[in-house]
Amino acid sequence: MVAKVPRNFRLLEELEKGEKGLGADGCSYGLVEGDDVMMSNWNATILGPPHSNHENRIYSLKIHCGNSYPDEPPIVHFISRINLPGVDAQNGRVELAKLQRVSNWNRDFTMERILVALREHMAHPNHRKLHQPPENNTY
Amino acid sequence: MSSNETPERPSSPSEAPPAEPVTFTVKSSHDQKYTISLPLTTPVLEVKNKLAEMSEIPADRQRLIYSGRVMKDEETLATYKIQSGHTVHMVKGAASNANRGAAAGGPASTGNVRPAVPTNIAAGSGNNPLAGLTGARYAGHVQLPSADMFGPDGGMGPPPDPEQLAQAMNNPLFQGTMNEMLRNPQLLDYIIASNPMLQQLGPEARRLMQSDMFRQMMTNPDVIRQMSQMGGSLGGRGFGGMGAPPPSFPEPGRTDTTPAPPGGAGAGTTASPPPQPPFGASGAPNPFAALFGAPADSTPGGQSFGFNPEILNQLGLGTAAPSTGTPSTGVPATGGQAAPLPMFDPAAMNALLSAMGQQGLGTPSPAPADNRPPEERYADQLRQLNDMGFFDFDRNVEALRRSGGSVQGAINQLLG
Repeated sequence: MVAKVPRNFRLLEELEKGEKGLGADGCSYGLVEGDDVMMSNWNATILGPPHSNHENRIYSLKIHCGNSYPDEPPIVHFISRINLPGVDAQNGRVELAKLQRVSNWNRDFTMERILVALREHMAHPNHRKLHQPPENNTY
Repeated sequence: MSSNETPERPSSPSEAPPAEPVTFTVKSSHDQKYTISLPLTTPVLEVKNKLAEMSEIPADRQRLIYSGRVMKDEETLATYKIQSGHTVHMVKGAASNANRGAAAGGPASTGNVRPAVPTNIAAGSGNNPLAGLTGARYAGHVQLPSADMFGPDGGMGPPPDPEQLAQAMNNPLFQGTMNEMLRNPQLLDYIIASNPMLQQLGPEARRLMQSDMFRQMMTNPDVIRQMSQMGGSLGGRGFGGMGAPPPSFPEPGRTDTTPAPPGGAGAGTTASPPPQPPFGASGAPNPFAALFGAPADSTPGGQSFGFNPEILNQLGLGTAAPSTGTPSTGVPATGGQAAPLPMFDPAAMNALLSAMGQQGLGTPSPAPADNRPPEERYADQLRQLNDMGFFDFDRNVEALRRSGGSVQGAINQLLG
């Protein structure tokens, strides 16, 4: 049996990947406070996928990793307003259950995986032409 | 539960920024990397200026992202606590943000905002409004006309007779194509945004093109037949006819029961656009200007409709019906014939027609373009891809073909 990676080691790994820019295209993430030892609160951006109404936009998100991350998924909110199924129109909260790639949460999943799933979700043929609120609006 | 232990963080940057410069990497979207060494007190704007020299992307178009945050011009690197060895992402934004909010609208947003040109059209498909139709999305759906549709002498022959047009219109595939095109908000946006006259009309033009009536008109064989006949009657003056003198055309007074001769200025091909919109707000003299000028609501029985077969032609008419020549007479028809068709705002109609004529004719038409070798057709895009470091010609061409000529799309393919 493989040893479980403890929460903070895991988050450190993700932090390094985010800071060094090793992550996936179009997504970026990092700590809100660089000296947050618990590494709970994160910023993230998603670059709007091309050939969609999101093209050339940068969406900001905040991610909260609770104490039981990664056994439990993090809580993800959009800060930039977006019109997208699975995102609460009132507060920007992302329903991870609506995202195919992360709906069945597994502790090997990462924040990056969520961001990538969101980006794919935005580029989905049913969603990419959704009317979007003006840029720079926030929740 | 041991999962809350705190491993050693790497050196904390929270103390006063050190005087010595940090060296970080800026990664742009095409896998290009720039290494920069600057002290933490440097404002972000200065970083952008420096990057502008290195990357040729102007500072105001750069957007820098670090650790999930968009870096603001007025902040310094210390704000973002960049450390040596870290990576900043650079994204090339559009030149201006002003119009972007309005660009998002689908068909629902026909209101008072004028839609901007869709950015992905600007991104590489050049000025060809039909480039989208050549993309993978329409593969097998739209057959672009081949060269033989112009006839053995390359379009110098007579235009197809009205029956051929009507036949084409009866083809469900063709009707579908037409509907598809008119439903495509991007194409409409593009047509509107690229034509000053339509821009002046603002939402009117959009509403017109999206209206069911217009669509019905474009896909109703009877209407087309009628218009063809009218076109014959009108002769080559104006109306997208290529401006050749109409020596043998029948009088404008002919009735629609007279079989229309295959008249028309045969000199036109899609490759030789008319010098100006032949028909419309530019005031080109034409015998029916008065009719078009009539207020829409004053002639309830009078029908006004217009149509330019060039655009149909480019969209697959040639494959739908084996035409032997290019229909070089645009045939907007007017008058009170029997067809129970609704009346449009004449000004809007005029502008629309000339816009479509211009779009169909004024830009390098996709029909002949598709017969050019890829290195010629995609010359610009290929050069851009090469500049970005994609050297595999075959793959580049393939990717461009799939993306309909969009460099951005091609890059996604190449990286994907």
